[in-house]
Amino acid sequence: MGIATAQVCSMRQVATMVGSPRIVTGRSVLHPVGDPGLDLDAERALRRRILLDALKALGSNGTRDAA
Amino acid sequence: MESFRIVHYLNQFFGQLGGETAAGAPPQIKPGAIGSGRVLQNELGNGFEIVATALCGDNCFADAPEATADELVGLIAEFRPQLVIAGPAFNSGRYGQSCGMLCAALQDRLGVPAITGMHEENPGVDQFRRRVLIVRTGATARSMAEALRSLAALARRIAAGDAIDRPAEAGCFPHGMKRPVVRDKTAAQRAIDMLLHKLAGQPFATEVSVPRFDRVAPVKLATALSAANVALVTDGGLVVKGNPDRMPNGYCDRFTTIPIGGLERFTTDLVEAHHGGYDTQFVNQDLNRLVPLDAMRELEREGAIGHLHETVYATAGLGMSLTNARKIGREIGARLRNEGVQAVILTST
Repeated sequence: MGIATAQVCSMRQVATMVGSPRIVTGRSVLHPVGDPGLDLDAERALRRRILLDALKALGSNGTRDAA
Repeated sequence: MESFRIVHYLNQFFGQLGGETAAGAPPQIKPGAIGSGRVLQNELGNGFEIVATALCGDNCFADAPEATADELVGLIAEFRPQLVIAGPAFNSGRYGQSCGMLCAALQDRLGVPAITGMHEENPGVDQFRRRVLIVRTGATARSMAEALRSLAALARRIAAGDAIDRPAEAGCFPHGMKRPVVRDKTAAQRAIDMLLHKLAGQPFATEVSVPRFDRVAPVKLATALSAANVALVTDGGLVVKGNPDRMPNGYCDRFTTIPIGGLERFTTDLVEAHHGGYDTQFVNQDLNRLVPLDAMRELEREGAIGHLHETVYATAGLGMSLTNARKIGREIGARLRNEGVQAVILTST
């Protein structure tokens, strides 16, 4: 039995090309699940939103991008 | 004139020792051709003789590859072959491994050329194509006749003294080596030629081989997310502060682990990002921007996931070879599975 995976990745074309299933777009190569340009609360909300997308993707069959 | 002497190698199944129940059969050798070897003999025709058939069970070989190969080399040497033909193994994993390993051992120890045949998805191809001539075959024994014809054709070329400089042109998997050659046309002219062929729908051969990536079938989550043990993994170079495992910041052949038991969020006194492929200043201000520990703890408390796994696995994905990437992925996967993890969120930079 394998492990279900979701990848948070800003370079989604690369992830697609190498065959990664369930890709969720990250904020930036420099900070995939955060953003130094936002205030702390907004940044935490962003991080939570990306993670919820990733969790949703984990529950999907993985044949299409979830986000 | 004496015939060109060939020894054929077969597993228990093709060697007619039996099916899976005979997979433990020890190395042995019998004079003459057996089973598909008789068809191979016909394909080879006059001037060639399969003087003996070496046999071994797949499991026996897989359990002790080096020792088994050694023993078979000894048995085969007594028949003084000028060429050894192993298999073909088609897409059979253990058989492919045995054929590749035996061919490599024969070439190393006896200096005898040894060839085999496999389907492109046989893991033995990646393992041995650099050292062994492996003829392309179909996936199953249904393509036996064609596979034996290819092996016989290759055997005839080797017997005639052909060094098979370009395996790809002989129907084999390329050795993957490059060497300088002088061409009539410049690279620009050749590129235009290729483009014209492509536009006209005519065949053309690229001069740049692109690595082939796996198509990994997505695994369905076995449990409800609210009951799942979820792990965080990153290729963004997260390490314990001071990098005690001495993880390289690129061209990695390994991974590191970061324990997060009892930890609510990452702080800069505990961890840091060590990666040569992107500007790490923003994640080094707040490592949760790289591996979202704080948000995952929140979701764990809310019951969105069952449990956050207490170890984060990390490597630095910069200039990493496919071989190392596969190796690291397999190792991390095996560890996570043993640790009872059902799902992973991988954050990539």
